[in-house]
Amino acid sequence: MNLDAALAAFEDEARELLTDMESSLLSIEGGQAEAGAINAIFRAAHTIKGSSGMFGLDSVVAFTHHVESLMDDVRNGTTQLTTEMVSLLLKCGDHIGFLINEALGRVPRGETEAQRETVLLAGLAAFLGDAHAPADAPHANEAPAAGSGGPSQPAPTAPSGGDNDGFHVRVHFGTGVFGEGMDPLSFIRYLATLGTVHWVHSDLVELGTMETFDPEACYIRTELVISGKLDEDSIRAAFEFIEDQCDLTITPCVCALTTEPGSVPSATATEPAQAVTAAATPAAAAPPKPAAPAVPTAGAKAAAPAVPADSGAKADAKSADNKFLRVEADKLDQLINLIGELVIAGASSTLIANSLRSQEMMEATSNVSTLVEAIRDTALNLRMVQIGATFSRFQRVVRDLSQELGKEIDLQISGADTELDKSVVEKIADPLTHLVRNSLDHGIESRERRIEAGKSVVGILQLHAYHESGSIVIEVADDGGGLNLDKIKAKAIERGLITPNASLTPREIQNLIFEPGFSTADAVTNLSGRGVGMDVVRQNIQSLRGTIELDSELGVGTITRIRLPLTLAIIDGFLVGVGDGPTWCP
Amino acid sequence: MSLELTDGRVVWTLPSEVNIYSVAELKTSMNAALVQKRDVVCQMKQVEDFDGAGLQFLMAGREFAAQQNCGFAVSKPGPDVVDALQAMGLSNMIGE
Repeated sequence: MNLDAALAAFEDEARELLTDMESSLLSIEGGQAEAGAINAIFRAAHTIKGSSGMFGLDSVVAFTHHVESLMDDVRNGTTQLTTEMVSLLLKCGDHIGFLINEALGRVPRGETEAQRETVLLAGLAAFLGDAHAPADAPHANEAPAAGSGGPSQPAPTAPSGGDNDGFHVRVHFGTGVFGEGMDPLSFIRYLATLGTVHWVHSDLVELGTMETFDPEACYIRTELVISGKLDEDSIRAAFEFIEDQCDLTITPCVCALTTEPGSVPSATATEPAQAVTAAATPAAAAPPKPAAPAVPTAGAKAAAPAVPADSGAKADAKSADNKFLRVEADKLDQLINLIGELVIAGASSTLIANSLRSQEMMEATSNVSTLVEAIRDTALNLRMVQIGATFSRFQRVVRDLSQELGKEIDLQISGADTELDKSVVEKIADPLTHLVRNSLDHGIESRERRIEAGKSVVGILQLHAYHESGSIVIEVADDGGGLNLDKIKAKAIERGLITPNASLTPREIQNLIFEPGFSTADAVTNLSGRGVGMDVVRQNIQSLRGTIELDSELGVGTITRIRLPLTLAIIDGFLVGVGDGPTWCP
Repeated sequence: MSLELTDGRVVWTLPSEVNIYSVAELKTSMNAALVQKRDVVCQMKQVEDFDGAGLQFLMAGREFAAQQNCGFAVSKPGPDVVDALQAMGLSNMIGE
């Protein structure tokens, strides 16, 4: 399996999970503290941590571990989710995004990021309490499980003994594990982050002879004893990615009484048990505080008891897996291109059939054309994605900017299920961001001004999408102060864009804001007002073969309306003017 | 990657990558090392990229050597290899 492709898939998944996490946090902040949202946040952190571990992205694992621990406490009911915690977790989500970029070598870690991480870890530690102090958990810059100590390092605190205090885990990896891009080593390393490993032993099963040995098939079987704040479900969850490809047995046990398994037939049966003596050492004899434990201590929060609390969500995830198939965009583009060629070839066949005046041939080509058109429409539909995901990201933008600006703003989204071409969705995000920021910064007035104007103190920003006449229309509307035409005209004259005696319609005056370098903002802020945005917004929209128009009324608000083609993939023809009449060129 | 006969033992030097992408290719050299029916010292000082498939490869080498009543030891492993061996409870493969 190509590692780059696997990393790209990991990154896609991680970004999606971070988006889900952010949406869930914002929905909780909006007063919808549902168990589903809390589970979704936990699941996002858990999955990102697990996947990162498989790729050895240790800094991501280490940081996400704390987020996962906090969310585990929240969903277990031991910690109440507060507004401050939501704010912290939103920032943690951003930082995880940075850590992924850093781990993939895209951005370096500067002092700012290091300080931010320290602050976030301190914040998480404050909510987690003493039991989860960062000193007991993997540090962001340290390998969580694969460090110098490894799982076989003596346990920092020995189990208390008596009743079952740990688990005997036996996992026989299936032969196809390597072929699926999975690595048993990563799973065992990840498992070690969940508690204290007292001993571990690995051997090969049904290896056969040197001649029949296939190095790319997996023969590994591993047994270990682990203890800590974990349960059978969290151990099972650690192997969820290969649950169909491994034989997993988990048995509760007394760690202090366990020894190297004698029942395992192995060529290495004489191998001394790793760290057995350490496991049997009384707690008092264990070092009180190891300098840098390579695995989280028993005090560190165990991760991922995903099954009981999450059983519904897990079922949903499984059904979603069955419902959707992730396909590389390049492959889809290739299919679309081929279908485009097929359409052209089909049209040629029709022309030939017409010229031959063969009734049977014409019927046959007509049937083929109908089918080709159906295939074309279906293929184009594959590229269509809902704009809701793009709209959703503005919840965070509006939240953060409204706090920064000291304004209360209610974001209203409608038409989120409206579909448009994926390439358009990707390119529309930046112009939309600019429009939203402009509305927040310049459109919607300050609290005092809104009170003076007799408006509600809560400003309204609407994002609306709908289909109209074969196009998709996206509206960004605010109930702010609207465009001041006199001010725009004066500014345009000052900038030399128009002459003082120019006679312009209100719409033409409004459109002046799309001129390069134009801004009516009285003050330049770090959000907008530098006049370098609206012209770029218009250029971006025009590059998508779209149009942008304004509908503004002073004191009432502004609607910015973007009209885009439904798809960029296949165009039936161009409508051109020839003489006085229109002509259609296929 | 090379094979040398030193002090009656086969010193089998592995390349920088011993992972899922290289183990199939390395199998030939493992056969060459083991066919001599001598103790094998697996020299790993050059190994930088090591994963579960590489680990299994070493375990298989030891198993096949044992089938011939020969010893098999890992020599001069780097930190990544040591970590991997420790994680899977195989530190005792490290010989000299």
